[in-house]
Amino acid sequence: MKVSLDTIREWLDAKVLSCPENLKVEIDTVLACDLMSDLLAHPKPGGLLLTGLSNIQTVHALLAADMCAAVVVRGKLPEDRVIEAAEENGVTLLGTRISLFEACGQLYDRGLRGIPPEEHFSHVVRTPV
Amino acid sequence: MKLHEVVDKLGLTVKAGQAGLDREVTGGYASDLLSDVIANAREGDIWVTLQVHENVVAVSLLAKVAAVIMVGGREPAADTALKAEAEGIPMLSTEMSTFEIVALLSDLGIRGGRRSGT
Amino acid sequence: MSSEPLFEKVFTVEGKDYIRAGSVSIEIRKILEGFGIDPETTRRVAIITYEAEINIALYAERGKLKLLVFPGEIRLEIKDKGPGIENIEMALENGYSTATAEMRELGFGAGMGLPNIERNSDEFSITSTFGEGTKLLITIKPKVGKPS
Repeated sequence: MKVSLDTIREWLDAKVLSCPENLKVEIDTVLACDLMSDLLAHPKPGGLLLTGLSNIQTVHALLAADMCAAVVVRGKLPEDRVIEAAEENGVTLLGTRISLFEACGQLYDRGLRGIPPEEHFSHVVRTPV
Repeated sequence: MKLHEVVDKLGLTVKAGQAGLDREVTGGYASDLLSDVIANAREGDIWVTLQVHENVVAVSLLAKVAAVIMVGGREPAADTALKAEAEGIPMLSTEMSTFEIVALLSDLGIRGGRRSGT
Repeated sequence: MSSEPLFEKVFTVEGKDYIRAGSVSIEIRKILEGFGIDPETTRRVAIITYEAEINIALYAERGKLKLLVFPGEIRLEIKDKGPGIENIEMALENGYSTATAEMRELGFGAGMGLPNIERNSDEFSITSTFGEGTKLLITIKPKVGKPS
C-alpha cells in the first residue's frame, strides 16, 4: 500500500515544517525510531520515519539512510537550524502532537506496515579481529 | 487487559519479573528517550523500547509502567534483569520492531494517549 | 586495480561537536553521487561515515576520516585520537554502549554504531589502543557499475 505524505499529514493532524513541495511523495513503509542508529540498522528508501528526536541528527541520519521524510512526534518542534538543514537537503519534516505509540497505531489502522520480518537486521557473523 | 494475556497473545518472552504478570495494562508508550518516558508515560502503560541498560528499571519505577517490552530481539542486560526481578517489574522481549509490536498492541485495544507535547 | 585513487580527501571531525557530526557523511554522499556511484553503495558509505563521525564526536578528542575512491572500490581510513575502546569484542556487539545519560538524551547510545559500520562494509578492520585512539580500515565494493 502506498500513501502520499499529504494523506499522512492529514491522518496524523500534522504540520508541515519543511519542503512542502514534496507532500505528493508516496510512502510504503513506516519505521519508528527515536535513536538514529536504530534507523540506520534498517534504512528504507521510500519509507517514513516516525521519531521523537527533533535535533539535527534526525536530518543527518535520514540523509545517510537515503530517506527524505519524517514525522516528529510528541509535539517536539525542531529548532530553526534543523528546519533549514531539512530544507537545504530536500527532507520533508512533519510535526504532530500525538505520541509515537499513537502515531504507529493510527498508521497501522489505516493500512501502512513496517519493515517485513525477513528484512530485519540480523546478527552479523563476524570473523575474528 | 492483564499482562499475561498480552504476553500470550503476542508471543512475548518473559525475561524477568514473572511475578508481575497479573498486572493490568491500561495503555501503551513507545520511546527510547528516558527523560521523555519519565515525563509522559502513564501509570499502567506498557513501555516499548530498545533500551536494555539498567536505567530502564529506575525509569520504569518512576513512570510506574506496568511492564517493558524490548524490541528487535533484544534482552535486558544482566544488571537490568537482576534489578527488574528485585523490583518485580516484568521485562518482556519480542523479535518484532517497534512499529510492528505497537501495531499489534493497538489491535488488542491497548492505545497511546493524545498529548499536547512540550 | 590501479594503485592510485581517482579521488582522495581528508575530513576532520571534532569531539563533542554534536551539531556538525554527520555533515561529513552528507558531503561524501554528494561526492559519490558526482562519481555516478549507485544509490545502494552510496547509502552504505554514508551510513558507515555517519556512524564513524558520531563515534568520534561522542568518544574521541578529534578524528580524521579519509575517503579514497578507486575504480571498483571505495576505501575509508578513519583514525581518532582519544581514549580508545576498552573492549572491542563487546563494542562490536549489538546493544552494548558506553554512552552517558547525556549522550542518550541526544539520541545516541543505541549500541549499534560499530555493528552498523561492519554490516555495511565489505572489508572491515578495527584496532584500538586504550589511551591513544581507534583506527578503522574499511572497503566498500559497488555491486553494479564503476566510478566514471
